[in-house]
Amino acid sequence: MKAHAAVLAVLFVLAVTVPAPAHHSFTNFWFMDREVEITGVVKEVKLVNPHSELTVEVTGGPQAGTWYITSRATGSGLRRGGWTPETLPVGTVVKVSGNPSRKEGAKALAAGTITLPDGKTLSFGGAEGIPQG
Amino acid sequence: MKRTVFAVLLATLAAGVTVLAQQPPEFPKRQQIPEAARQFIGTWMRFPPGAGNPERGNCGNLKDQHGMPRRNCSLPVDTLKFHPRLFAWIQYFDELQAPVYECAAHTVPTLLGDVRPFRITAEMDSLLVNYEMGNTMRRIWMDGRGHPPPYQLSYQGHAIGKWVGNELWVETTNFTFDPDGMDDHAHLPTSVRKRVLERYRMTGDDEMTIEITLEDPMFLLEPGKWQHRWRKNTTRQFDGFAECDPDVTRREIELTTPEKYPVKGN
Repeated sequence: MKAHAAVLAVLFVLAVTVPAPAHHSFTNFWFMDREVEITGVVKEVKLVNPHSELTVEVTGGPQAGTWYITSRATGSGLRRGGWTPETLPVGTVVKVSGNPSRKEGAKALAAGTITLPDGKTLSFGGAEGIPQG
Repeated sequence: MKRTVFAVLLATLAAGVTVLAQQPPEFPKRQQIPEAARQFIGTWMRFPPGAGNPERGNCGNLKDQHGMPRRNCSLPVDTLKFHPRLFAWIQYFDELQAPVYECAAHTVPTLLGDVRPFRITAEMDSLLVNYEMGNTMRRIWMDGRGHPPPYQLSYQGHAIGKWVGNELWVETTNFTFDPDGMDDHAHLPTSVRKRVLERYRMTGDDEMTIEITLEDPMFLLEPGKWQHRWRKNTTRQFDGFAECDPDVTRREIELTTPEKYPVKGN
């Protein structure tokens, strides 16, 4: 019960408090009014500045390939929000929704929401609470 | 024989003591951290837009490679009088050339326009300013020295400061050319003639204003002047040491920005 409460608390923190300003205006690089969803396996998570990055391998279908998901939050911001390198282990199957790149054909998203196999969601520093110029 | 040896040793010892007494060791000149400096020591957070603070994001009419309006500029672009050379630069420039995507730390005044916190600490001869953006450590010499000769340039420039009453005045010069030297969002450059003046003034117990004057006759027709408000934060953790990964930053820009100068065959 205590463990369950702790997990809920961590997820709440991750989802709500990742307040970090975008390093540059995402509108200039991503279609912020469109959304794309992919499902794949986590290959790597880098909590770095100025933007963190999640790598997901998608197998089969028209989306097959390596996708790079850019966080709008800094590595510092995500860490403050509760993220650690262990938050999303390599090999986890995830569904990621995010904004597609303005470069045609690029396998890249501005994150979005990450949905875990059990239905729980994580924020990878999406638009919520992030000031835009 | 023993007496002779003892006498020689005694004489040598006496001579050594005499020499030491005549030539006291030179200690470094003792200095005190001025009282005025103490009020600036700490971690500073930028005031949110409004509250008397200029909005970040004033990019004037500048557009990006896609022809979209620039956003999120770090200085009030529409108040600056640009030299035609700057517009020629914008036409030529493309995102992939920006040093920030190689994790190059920002320079002033871009650094001063960022929204992330910075931390000031004091040493006997200088102030150290650590900016969370880019994890840049900037040293402002306070010991009365001047700037190096004009042929000694560096990306971050050379900063010297002085106390004028309770205000801190800083002058930074000796910069190299910097494609993002004025702003890293619209990618406005600065030349080796860039000179940045900063005036730090406490406006309340835990509030300060930084007034910035930017000179660069290569890219500005006249000096630009603006200010930001900051407030001291005693509770927030300062994350000055999270690393930047050039593979990530380079990939991000390559995956979002078309090549402006494609090479045939590639």
